[in-house]
Amino acid sequence: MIERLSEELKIEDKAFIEEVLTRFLREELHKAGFKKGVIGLSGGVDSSLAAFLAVKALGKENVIGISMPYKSSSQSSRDDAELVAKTLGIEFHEIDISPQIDAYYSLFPDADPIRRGNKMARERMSILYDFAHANNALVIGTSNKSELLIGYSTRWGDSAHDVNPLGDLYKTQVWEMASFVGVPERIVKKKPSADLWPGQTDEGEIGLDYHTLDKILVGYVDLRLKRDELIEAGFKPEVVDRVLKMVQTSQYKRKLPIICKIAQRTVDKDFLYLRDWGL
Amino acid sequence: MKVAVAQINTKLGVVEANVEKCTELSLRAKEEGADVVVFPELSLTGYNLQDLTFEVALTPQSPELIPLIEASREIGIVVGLIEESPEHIFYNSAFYIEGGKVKHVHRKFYLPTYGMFDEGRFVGKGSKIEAFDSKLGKSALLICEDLWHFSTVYLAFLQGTKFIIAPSASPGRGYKERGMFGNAEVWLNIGEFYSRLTGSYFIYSNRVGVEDGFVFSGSSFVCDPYGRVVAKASPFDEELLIVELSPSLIRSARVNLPLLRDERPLTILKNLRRIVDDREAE
Repeated sequence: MIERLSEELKIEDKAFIEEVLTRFLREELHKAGFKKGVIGLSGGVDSSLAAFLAVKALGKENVIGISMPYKSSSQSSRDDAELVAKTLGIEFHEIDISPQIDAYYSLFPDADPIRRGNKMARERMSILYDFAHANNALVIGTSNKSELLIGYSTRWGDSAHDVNPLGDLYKTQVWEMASFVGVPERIVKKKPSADLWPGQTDEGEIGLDYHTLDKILVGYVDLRLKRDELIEAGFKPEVVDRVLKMVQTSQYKRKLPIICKIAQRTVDKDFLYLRDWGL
Repeated sequence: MKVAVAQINTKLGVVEANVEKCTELSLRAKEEGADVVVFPELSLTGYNLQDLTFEVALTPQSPELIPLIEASREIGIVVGLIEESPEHIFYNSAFYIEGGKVKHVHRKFYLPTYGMFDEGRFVGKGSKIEAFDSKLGKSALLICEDLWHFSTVYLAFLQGTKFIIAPSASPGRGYKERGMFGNAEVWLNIGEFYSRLTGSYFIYSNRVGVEDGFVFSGSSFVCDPYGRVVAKASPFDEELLIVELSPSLIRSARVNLPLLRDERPLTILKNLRRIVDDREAE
C-alpha cells in the first residue's frame, strides 16, 4: 500500500502539468484584467517554482519578485532569492523588513518567536499587496498542498494571495516540478525552512519528513483512506493521528470568516457565485 | 457528410457574448461544409453557474437565441444552456436547433452531485432519453455525466441511434496520463468503447478554458463506428474540428457486429422489473 501511495504522488507528464499551471495563471489574470504578477521570493523551492511558472505564463517583463528578509534571515536565502530573479531576468527588489518589525516589537520586547514570525509573514503580505496596487498586478501565492492541509502557514500572511498555482501540489511534487522547470539545483536540494529564526527547518518543526507526510496526506485526502487503513498500510498510529489532527485543527485557516445566518441568503453560505462570475 | 466539433471557452454567466461566439462559429462551420455543429455542455452560459443558474435560464422561445435560430437555417446546431420549464424547474439542457427552430431538447438525465460537482443542488433531472433526426441521421444527445452511465447509451442504441452526440464540460483532473488529464483519457476510452459496441459515430465536444481554477480538459474527438478516433482536438485551445462522416461505415460495422439485431429489450425489461421489485422489497 505504501508503494501505491508513492505511486499516487508521481506526476507522469510534468510538461503537461507545467502547461496546465501556466495556462491557469495566464487565463485567470488576463480575464480579470491584469497583465502582471507579484511574487514574494524567499529563496525556497515553492516561491522559486511559482516564479518560473509565472514567467512562462505572463512573460518576464510582467513578473515582479520581491525578497523581504528580516535581519536574522540567512544570507543564503537572500542569495537564492536573487539568483531566481537573475536567472529569470525579472524585476527584483530586496526590502529589509527589520525596521518596521523592530519598531513594533520595541513595544513588546518579550514577544516569542512564533508571534514575531507571524508578524513578519503579514508584513510581507502587506508589502506584496502594496506593490500589486502600485503595479496593477495580482499577488501570486506560493502555498503548496502539504502546508495548506496541515496549516503550516500564517493566517492572512503567506496564506493570503490572489491566485495560487501550487495549491494542488504536495511538497514532494513541488520538488519534482521545480527540478523539471529548471529551478537551480541548490534551491531544490536544500532543506525547506520558513527561515523565521536561525536553524529552523520545516521538517524539524512539523516533526515529520515531507515524504512520509505526503504519503499520509495523499492517502487520506485524495484516496479517502480511513485512519485504520493508513495504519494498516504501515504508518505508525501516533504519526497518522498527529497528521490527521493537524489537518482537522487547521481547517479554520482554509476558510474565510464565518457569518451568523439570520436572513434568507447569507454571503458565505447560500450566495453562491464563482469569483470568475462574468469573466 | 460532415460534422463540426466546436471546442470553445465561454464567459461565465454572459449569455449574449456566448451566443455571439457560437453563432459566428456556426456560420464558419457551415462555410467549411459541416451539416451539424456541436458545442460543449452549457456553451451559452459557462459551467460552474451555482446561483447564476436562475439568472441565465432560457426557454426555446427566448429572444436571446434569435441569432442561433437564424444561423440554424444554414446548419444544424447543438448548444448547451440552462432551460427553465413553464413550472420554473431548471434543467441543464442541450438544444438541437435546425431550420429556424428548436427541434429537440435533451435535459441532462444524470446530474453529478459529488466531489467537485454540485449540479443536483441547482437543476432538476431530465427524464427522457429520446433519439431524434438531425441532419446527420438518427441521433441522440447525451450530456457529459449521462455517458458515464451505460443505461443512457443502451436506451439510445435501442432507438436506432447512429450518432451519439456528447456535449461536455469536463474539468481536468488526474496527472497519470501523458499529454492530457486523466479524465480526458477516460473520455477517449468511453468514446472508443461505445462507438464500437453500438456501431455508431461518437461525437464528443468538450470545453476548454478555466473557471476558478477548474481547467477544462478539451481533447474533444470523434470516433467512427469501428471505435477508431478519427479526429482529436488539443487539450487547451479553442478549435473547430471538421470531420467527414461516412454512413456506409455504420452499415459495415453493424453487419460485422450485429449487436443491435441481437438485443432483447423485452427480456431485459422483465429482468429490470424483477430486479427493481426485489430491491424495493428489501
